[in-house]
Amino acid sequence: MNKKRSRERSRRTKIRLHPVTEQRIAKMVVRVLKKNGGGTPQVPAPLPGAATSLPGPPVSAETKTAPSEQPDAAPNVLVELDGARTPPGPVDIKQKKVLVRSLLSEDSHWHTEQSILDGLRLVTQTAAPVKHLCNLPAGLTAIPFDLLLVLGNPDANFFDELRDPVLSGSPVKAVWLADAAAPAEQLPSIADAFDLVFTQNINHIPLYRYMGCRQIVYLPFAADPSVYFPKTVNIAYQSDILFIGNADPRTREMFAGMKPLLADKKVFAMGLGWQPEDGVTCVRPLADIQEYYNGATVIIYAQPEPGQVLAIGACGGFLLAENNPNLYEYMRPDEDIVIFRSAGDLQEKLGYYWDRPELMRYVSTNALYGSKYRNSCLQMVLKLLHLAARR
Amino acid sequence: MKLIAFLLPQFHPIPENDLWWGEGFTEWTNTRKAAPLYPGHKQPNEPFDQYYYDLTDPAARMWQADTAQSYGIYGFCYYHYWFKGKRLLEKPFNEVLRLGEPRIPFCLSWANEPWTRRWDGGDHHLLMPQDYGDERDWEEHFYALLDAFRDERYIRVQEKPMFIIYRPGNIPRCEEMIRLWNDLARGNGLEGIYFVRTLGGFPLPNQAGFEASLEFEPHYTFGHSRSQQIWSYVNTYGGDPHIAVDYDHVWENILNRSPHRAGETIFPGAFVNWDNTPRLGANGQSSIGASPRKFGWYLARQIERASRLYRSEFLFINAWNEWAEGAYLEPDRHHGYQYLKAVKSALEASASYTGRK
Repeated sequence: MNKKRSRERSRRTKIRLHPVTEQRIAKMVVRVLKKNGGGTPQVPAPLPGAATSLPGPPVSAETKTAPSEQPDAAPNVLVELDGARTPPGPVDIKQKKVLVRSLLSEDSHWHTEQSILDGLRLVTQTAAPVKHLCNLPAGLTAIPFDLLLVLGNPDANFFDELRDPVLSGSPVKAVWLADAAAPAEQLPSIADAFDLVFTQNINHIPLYRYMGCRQIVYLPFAADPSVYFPKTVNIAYQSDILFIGNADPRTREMFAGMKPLLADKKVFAMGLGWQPEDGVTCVRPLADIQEYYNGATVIIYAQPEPGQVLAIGACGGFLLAENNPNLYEYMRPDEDIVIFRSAGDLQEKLGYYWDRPELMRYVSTNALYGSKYRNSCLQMVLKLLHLAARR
Repeated sequence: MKLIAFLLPQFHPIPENDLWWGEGFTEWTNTRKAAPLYPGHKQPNEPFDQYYYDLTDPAARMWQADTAQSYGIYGFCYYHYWFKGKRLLEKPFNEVLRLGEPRIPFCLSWANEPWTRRWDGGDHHLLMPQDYGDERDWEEHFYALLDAFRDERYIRVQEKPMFIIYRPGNIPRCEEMIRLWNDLARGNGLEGIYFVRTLGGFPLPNQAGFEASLEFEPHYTFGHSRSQQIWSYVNTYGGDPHIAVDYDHVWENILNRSPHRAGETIFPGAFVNWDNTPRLGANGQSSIGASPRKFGWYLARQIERASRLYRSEFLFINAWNEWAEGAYLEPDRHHGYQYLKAVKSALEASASYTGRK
């Protein structure tokens, strides 16, 4: 290798991106430059701990929330929704007392309540879980809670409970819904009862707002690090490609476009409607899901669910995800996730990254790092507490 | 980690129970009549495939042992009832001894409480008083169990058969009794008796002679955690207030407890669930929040603690078949084998977890 050229290359901090992504970035840069009157866009700082042998971060504003790159969706930020400014001044959450009532189902969120409680206990004065609101345990009835936090989707029985709770003071009432797959029911009651609504799916915000919810914030549950973490798995869970998504016509088209690339690969399909005749090994949805995440070289996710995107990151998985508004708030496209917008885009990116394992590892390492810190349960809880405190 | 599950033998009729509770009374009598008291209350609990077994049937005992061992349970701790020479519910265990089957390791826990109409170990509505006698009675008791202690299946610690006493604080001259039994054991070819005291939800006086203590859950946490958040009231369908137990809060107490007590060896405990409403109706307590996945998760953490913090060879699970207290691992209609699968998963997870930094 030419030593002079290698020295020059090492001085540059440039990531090798997919050519299609590079074109989009270039167009973005041009738009931003025109908007700023020709000013130089700020280069994002490199991720801490990035190995010098790996490419550096992209030289663009792509990874920031660039509105024109996002598909149309209701804005997430609390302030923009209400048109009201958050009051200035520090918020002392260390003094806060939080009462937690979990309605989460045992199957899909069996440890979420504990993770959230652990996070709350680290940063507040009191975080007390109860199994119902009508008759609080002795010792809790006299505490003037600042926040009543309900986890999960309230049903009609819950609103009977909420009608006459024995609570001291007037705590802010917030509900952190488990509504990734479908909007919560009982929306009028939710709108009436809760000051703050946290949703797993940014696409639900317009509906919730229409139904009268005062403040809605997109805030997914963090991946539980005690469930989702990197590990070596049995060969039964190992695949070259793990394809997640139901076998509807659109997904089948997506899949068909990749067929040439899949010919010599072990492909698992997780979703409804897949058959072995499709050339895949069918995997039951949600069964030992973290094992499959850890066993896959590449995970392709059609219509990604935010909670599972974070879970894949927590396993250190490399994820190609179909474009979705939920992906931009907590993930950094091309740093910790790769987004595709069409069947052709998917085919091109799969081929590109498959030939570049160190680039895949860079992306999956960033995802793991993000899940551990930036998207940790503690960070989600802190965000919730700050928003609640500013009510 | 050797998981030992408590086994209740009250699944066959005995004349005393026929007299006190009605013809043919067994634990199944209570479980069959249980009913849900509030929304979400899971009662009645029915055995999988309607297997209302009789423990005098050797096939039932074999099934218990085979099932337990296939999911990682190391042994059973049979409850033993001795009332100053009078034994109750001894038939299943005696048959295990006589037949040499099943081959699963076992030990005994002397459930030394009076039997009452209130199932609470108290002295009200007494059916069978718990007396202890003197040296002659103690000797008779020892010799009644010597064959068991000599059995090769009997669980030993330091070459000594392990004998658990539920409420040693109730035994007058307990330390003298223990010394006598150790002398008798050594005089009969044993190394001694490894006495274990149960830490339950009752007063725990300091007593010499015990080589270890056993955390009996959830009672130990009920009685000694000093946490007021474990309990709350729910309103039943009948309008009566009923004590509800926060399942997760109990486990949180168990898992965050300091391993240090009085310097003794401690065998940690685990519980499957708690619901004694089949026995006591609305006057009992039931827990809210239990599930097989949670149990497996908590058990894996407790197994890891037992190994790392307590350096314990054993972990005691309440229980294999306490159906009328909601503390059972046996498969049921609602969950199938999920609780047993959770045990197996917990053992596997703790093996890999213990190996990680």
